[in-house]
Amino acid sequence: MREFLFSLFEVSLTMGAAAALLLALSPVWKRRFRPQWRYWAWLLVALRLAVPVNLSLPQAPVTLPAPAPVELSAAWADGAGGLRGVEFAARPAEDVPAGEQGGTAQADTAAAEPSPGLSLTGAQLSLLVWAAGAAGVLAVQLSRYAAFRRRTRRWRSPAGACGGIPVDTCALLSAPVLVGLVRPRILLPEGLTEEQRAYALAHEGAHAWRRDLWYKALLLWVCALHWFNPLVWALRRAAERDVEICCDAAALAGRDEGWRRGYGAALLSFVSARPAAPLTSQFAGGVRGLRERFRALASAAPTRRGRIALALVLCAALLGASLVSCQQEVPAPPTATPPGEMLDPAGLADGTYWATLLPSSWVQEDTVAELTLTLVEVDPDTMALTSGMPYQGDGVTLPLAEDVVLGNHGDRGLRDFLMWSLASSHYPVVLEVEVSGGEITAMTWHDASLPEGTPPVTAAEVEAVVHGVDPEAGTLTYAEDDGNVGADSAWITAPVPRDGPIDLETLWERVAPLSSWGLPCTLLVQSDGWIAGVKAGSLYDGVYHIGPIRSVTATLEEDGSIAAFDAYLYEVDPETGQAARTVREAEFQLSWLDDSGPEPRYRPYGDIALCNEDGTPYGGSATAFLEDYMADWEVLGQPSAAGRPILQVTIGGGVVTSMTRLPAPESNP
Amino acid sequence: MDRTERLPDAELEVMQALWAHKEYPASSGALMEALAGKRWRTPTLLKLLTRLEERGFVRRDKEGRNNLYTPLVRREDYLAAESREFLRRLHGGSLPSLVAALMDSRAISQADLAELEDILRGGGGGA
Repeated sequence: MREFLFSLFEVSLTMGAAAALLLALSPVWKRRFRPQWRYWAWLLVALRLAVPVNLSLPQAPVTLPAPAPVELSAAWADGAGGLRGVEFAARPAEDVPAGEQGGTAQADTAAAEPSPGLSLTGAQLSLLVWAAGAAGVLAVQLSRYAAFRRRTRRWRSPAGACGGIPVDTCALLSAPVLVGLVRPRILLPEGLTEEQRAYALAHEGAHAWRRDLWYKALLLWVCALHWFNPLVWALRRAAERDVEICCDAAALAGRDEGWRRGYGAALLSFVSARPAAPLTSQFAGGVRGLRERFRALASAAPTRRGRIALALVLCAALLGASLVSCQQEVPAPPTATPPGEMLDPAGLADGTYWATLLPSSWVQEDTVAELTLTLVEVDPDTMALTSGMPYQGDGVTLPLAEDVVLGNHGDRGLRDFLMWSLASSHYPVVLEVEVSGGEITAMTWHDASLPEGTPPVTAAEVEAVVHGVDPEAGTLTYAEDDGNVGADSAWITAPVPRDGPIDLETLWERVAPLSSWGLPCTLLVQSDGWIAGVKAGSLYDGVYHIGPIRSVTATLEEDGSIAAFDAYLYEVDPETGQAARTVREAEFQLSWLDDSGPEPRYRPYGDIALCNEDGTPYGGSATAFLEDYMADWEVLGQPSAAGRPILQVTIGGGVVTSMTRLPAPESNP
Repeated sequence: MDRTERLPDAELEVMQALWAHKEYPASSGALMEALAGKRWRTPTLLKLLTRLEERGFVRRDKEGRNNLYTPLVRREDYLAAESREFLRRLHGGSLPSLVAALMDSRAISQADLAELEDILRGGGGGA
C-alpha cells in the first residue's frame, strides 16, 4: 500500500515535471515541430502516468491492497502492455474478477504485509482520499458520457456509412461528433449540405481511423488517477487540442488549397450554427484552441520536423524524471537551464538586448503573447548597428510579461507600439528589450543607423509566387518561383512599405480567389528584405500616366468589353501638369485570370474607380470611359502637347484599379 | 412552449412517427404501420397515445370507430426545448471527453469569429 502510494506520487510528480517542461517549451516547439510530434510526446508521458508503479525497482512489487479502487489501478498496471485498461475503466471496481489481476501470489503477500514506517491509518486515509477522488472523476466523466449516448440515441436516424463506420443524423446536435470506443459511429447534425457532410466525414473519419477516442480515453484515465495534479489536467488540455490539430492535418493530407478553405469554412459554419443557448455564453474558453487550429489550417508551410531535438528533449524529460525517486528531495521543476537550449540556441539569459522586429502574425492578436525578435548588436554611443542587419538572421521567440513596460512610442498601447517599425519613417529602428526570467519585461524603440561602409540598399527582381497578404501587418508571404512551389517551398514573410506603391488590399483581392498556391509575379526585393515592388502584369503596381491609347489588345468574349490595352507611358511634371511622352510602352490589363474553375478564364475586374477631369465619378463602364477618352484624343490630341487629355492609371495586383482623367494644364505657348 | 418536460423514449418514438407522417390527422392504424419495426401491440401504442394526449402533445379526434391523432407540439419546438436542456445538462455546451467533436466550441463572440475567418483567409498564415 505504502509502495503504491509512493510510486503513484512519484510518477505523478516526475511526469508532472516533464509535462510542465513540455508545456513551458510549447511556444518554442509549436513553432518548430509538426503537431504530430507533440501528439506522440503527450502520449509517451500519458502512458507513463497511466501505469503508476515504479518500474525502476528491481523487484517491481505490485501491491494489491483491499480497497476496491486500488484494484482498478493495479489491474491497469497489469494490462499495461496493451490498452485493455481503458475498457476496463468503464467497469465498476467491484466487478473485477480476481483472476484478472494477474499472476500475483507475490502481490497478495505484499498486500498482507504491514507497511513499516507509516502509520497504517495515515496511509489508509490518504489512500481512501485518493481512491475517492479517482472514482469520483471517473464517475462524473463516464456518467456524462453515458447521458450523452442515451440522449442522442433517441434522435438518431441512419444516414449511410463512411469507410465502414455507421453514420447517423442526430437532431440534438449542432456539430458532428464521433462516439463509441469499440464500435465507432459518426453523428451528424440535421440539415447539412453535401459539402459540409463531406468535410465533417473527412474529419470524424480521420478521428476514427486514428483511434483518437482511445487516446482521449487514456487521457481521461490518467486524469482520474492523478486528479490531484493540476499539471496532468493541463497536459490533457494541451494533448486534446493537438489531437484535433493532428486530425485536421490527417483529414487535409493531400488536399488542395480550395478544399482546405472549404474545410475551414465548414468548421466556422458549425461554430456559428450553434444556437445561442442561454447558458453557453459563459463558456468562452474554446476560442484559443480554435485559433490554433485555424493557424494550422491556413499556414501553408509546415513547421520543421526536428525529430532528433524532440527525441532528446523527451529522453531528458523522461530519464531525468525516472532517475529521481521519492526518497530524495522533491525535484525542482527543471526550468533554470532547460534541455530546451537544444531547441533554441538563443534562449536568452536575463539582460538587455537589441533587436529588430519583423512584423508578422502577431498584429492579428488582440493580446500579444510572444514576440519573435531578430537580435542585432548596436553601439550605444553612435546607435550604429555593429553586427546583424535588420530582419536578417534567425529569430528568437520570447513570451511577453503581462505587465510589460513600453518606452518610446508605447503611449498608444502594445499594438501600435509593435507597428512602429512599419510606421516609422526612420530606417532602421531598433528595439531595446529587457529580458528577465525568460520573459520580455520592457521594450523601447530607438532610431539607429546602419554601420559605416554598409553597401546601400539594393533591390533585385525575383520571380516569385505570392501566397499570403496581410494588409494589416503590412506584409506579404512569398516563395521564389522555382516552377514547383508548394508546401515545402521556403516561404518568406516580408514587410512592405506603407506609403509605397504597393496596395496590399488590392493585391489580396487578387491572391485570395486563386486555387493555385498563389499569384506568380515579379517582386522587387530589397537587400534589407523589404518589398519595393510587385509586378503581376507588365508593370509594377503603382500610378502611371498615359497619353493616347495605341490599341485595344484584348476584349472579353462575353460582351466585347475592353480587357487590355496598350499605351505609351507619359511623364507628368508635377509643377506645371505638362505631360511628355516617354519611350516606354506597356500593356494595361482590366481583367484577371480566374483559374478556380475547371477552365481558366478572364473575368472583368469589377471595381475600377473611374473619375472625370473635374473630379466627379464617371457613371458608365470602363469600356465606355476608355472609348470616350479615345474619342477625345481624336478631336483634341493634335498637334500640340498642351491641352491634350492625359489619363492617370493605378495598377494594383497587376490589374488596373482606377483611371482618372487629369485636368488639362494651363496652355503654355 | 411550456411543455418542456422530456418525453420517455417510447413516447418520443410515437411522436417521431407522428411527426414523420405526411398528413394529419393520422389514424392509429397508420401509426402502427410506421412503428412496425418496434413489435408493439396495438394496446401499447394506444396507451402511449393516451399518455401523450394527457401531456397535451397530441389531439385525438373520433371518426367513426377510428381514432385520429394530430400533433399539438411541433417537432422543431420540442427539439429546441430538449436540446436546450441537453446542452444545459452537458455543462453548458461542452461535450463529454469521450466524444470527438468536429467543433467543440463554447460560445464564441462575433469578434472571435471575424478573427478566425481572417486567419482562414490566409492572413495569419504564411511562414
